[in-house]
Amino acid sequence: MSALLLISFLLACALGAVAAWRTRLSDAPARAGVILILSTAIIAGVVTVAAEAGSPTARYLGLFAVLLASAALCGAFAAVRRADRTKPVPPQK
Amino acid sequence: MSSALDAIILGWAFSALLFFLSLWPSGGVPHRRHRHAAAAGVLILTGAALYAADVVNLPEIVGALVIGAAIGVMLGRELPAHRLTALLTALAGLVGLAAIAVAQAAWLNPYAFGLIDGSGDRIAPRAAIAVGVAMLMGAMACASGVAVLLGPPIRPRRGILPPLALLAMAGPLLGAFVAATALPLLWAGMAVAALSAFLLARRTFGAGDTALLVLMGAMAGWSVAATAFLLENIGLAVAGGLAGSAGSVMAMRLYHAASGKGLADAQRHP
Repeated sequence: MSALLLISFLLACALGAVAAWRTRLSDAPARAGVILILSTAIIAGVVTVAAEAGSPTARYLGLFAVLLASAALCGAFAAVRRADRTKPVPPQK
Repeated sequence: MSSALDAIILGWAFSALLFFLSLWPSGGVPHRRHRHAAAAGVLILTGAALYAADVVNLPEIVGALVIGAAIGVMLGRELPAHRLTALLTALAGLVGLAAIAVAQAAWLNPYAFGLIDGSGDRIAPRAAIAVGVAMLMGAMACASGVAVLLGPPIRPRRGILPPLALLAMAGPLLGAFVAATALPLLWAGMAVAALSAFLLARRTFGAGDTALLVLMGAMAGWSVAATAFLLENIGLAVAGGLAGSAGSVMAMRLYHAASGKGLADAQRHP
């Protein structure tokens, strides 16, 4: 499992770098929103930790993290959608 | 158990594919579709995590999810349009704060997440490194969120080498934390990393809003990747790796593009 995790991570790093290198700079604002939504994937880890209620402190920390990650995911999606609508991209050639 | 594991791995693979497609540049596909692919991948990953976990306090988790979603949607829809960039950077800071909280909660409950070394009562070095990196990167994302909320500096400076040199000083503190597993060492490292990220964000203001946003997305992405190594979640590792490396490369490109234009031009569009 650990080797598979490391290989997937390194592959993702390489592909992400190539994708960012190939993206045109005029598309950068839209990609910034996608990167932000990708980083809110922490909600999956947060849910895993919050499900294991070991001690009261860990439990409340987990619930606090669930609140933050959920706000980040929904807020990022709504705000990126709005930003995309208020600043229409020029037609591509 | 085997079929459950298969379903989880299938969920991870499908969400990893969606993450990759959301970031890969593809001609005329509208931005909306990239955004939806990323969000769908995150939701599938969350579903797989809930399916895999032995949830004991589901009502509390669902309550926190709904309250957080309500706050997020309200902020995202109701804030004035000219504050949207500040809101997005603040949300990246929230991701960093969540990473800190997750790492701290896992540290408080080491037996549940397999952080203990096989031989004895000690925290395994692999887990200590993951906790340390997750907390350092989370502190960096938080600090740069604070820097963005404070607004652009009065006397802007260029050059990102001094903040990076400061960040290198957090490395020995992280090493000492892994060796001694004493949290105060990690807190000192977090303070140094937060200061360097604060300075880095203030010096990136000249390169434009997008560069700042991408830089913060990269910091949050690296903290997500460290959390993935802590929890051994492959889908999360793919999301964190993609966001971290794509954000870093794009921030570098935008910073160089702004430097090439010269200071005056860069300042005209802060």
